[in-house]
Amino acid sequence: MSKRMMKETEWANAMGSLPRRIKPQRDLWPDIESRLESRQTQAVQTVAKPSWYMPAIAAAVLLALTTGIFIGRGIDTPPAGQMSMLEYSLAGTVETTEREYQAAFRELVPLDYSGIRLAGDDPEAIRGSWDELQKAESSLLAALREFPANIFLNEKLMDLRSQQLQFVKQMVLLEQNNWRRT
Amino acid sequence: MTSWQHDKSELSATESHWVEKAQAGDRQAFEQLYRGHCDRIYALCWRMCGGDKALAEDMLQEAFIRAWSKLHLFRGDSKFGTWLHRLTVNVILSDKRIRVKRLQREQELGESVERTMVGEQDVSAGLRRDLEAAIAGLPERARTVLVLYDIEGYRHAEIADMTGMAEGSSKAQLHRARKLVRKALQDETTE
Repeated sequence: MSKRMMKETEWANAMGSLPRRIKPQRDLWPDIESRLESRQTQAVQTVAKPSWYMPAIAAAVLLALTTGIFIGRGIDTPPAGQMSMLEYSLAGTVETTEREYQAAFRELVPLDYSGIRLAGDDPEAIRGSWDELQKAESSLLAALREFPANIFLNEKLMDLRSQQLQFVKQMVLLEQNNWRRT
Repeated sequence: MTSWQHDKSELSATESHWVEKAQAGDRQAFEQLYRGHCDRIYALCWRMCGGDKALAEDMLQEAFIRAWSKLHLFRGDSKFGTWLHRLTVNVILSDKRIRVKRLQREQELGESVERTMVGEQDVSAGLRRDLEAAIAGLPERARTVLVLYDIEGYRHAEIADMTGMAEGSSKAQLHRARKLVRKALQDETTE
């Protein structure tokens, strides 16, 4: 290599002379194919749940939440300035859970819910169940706006977030699985 | 616009057809995409792994497996090759073994590197071999920036986005990398 390499144009030429394609010394496709095969088998096993699984979860959660909201409205909220340590810690936990849920939801559904393609397994029922969960969320948040320090309602919100997150994870897995099968 | 994007021979209507079929779950169509891009992706992996053939093969496999699982996210906004290339860079940058290797490399700058035959043999084959060896011997971050900027044609802003370093750091690493490569080549000449 001569000192001409020091010049910028020579540098660019030298870089340009490097091959953009290098053939691997062996065919890597068989390994890739085998790994894809094992991943697909795993995915099918993971999501091999009956088609009524998610609608059933949603229905159970919805019932519990709806009942909870009505019962929770009847519980008196302590006056301001008299919050116990338990209430303070619950408020902190709710806030943390809420942040975790929002972060996880953004990560899991980058294309938003409408971007998820569902095939088979009664997609309309699944969508309906999700919509029901969303309605439960709206009712719960409305109740919390009215009684923000209500322990019962805050606990219900945490339950709901946990169930929503589980639901979304199942949807993503199901969607990936369906995509592979179709 | 990167040199990768300029490569007109890379993509065609046939490729769009393979992409669509692969998105529908056709494994054979995906194999066609692999066949069309593996040499290009392997070159990227091999250089970014500092000439480590086994690691480069692992990275290539991981990149195509990741591509398969994320294929439904490819909307055709960019060319498939561009999307795959970017995905591969992310796979390599996030690999733990690479990060471990980075620490080792930073401490062992004099380490010898495996020299794999690259490209067709001609009068400048020796020059290219020296250059590849000098690049492979660079510290990890400097090599990453040099490969992405000087060879693959990414801009500093893109490199900063992919690596998480500041744009200024990318420029500094490039300067450092070029200096080290030039020094290595000069040493090669004087020996």
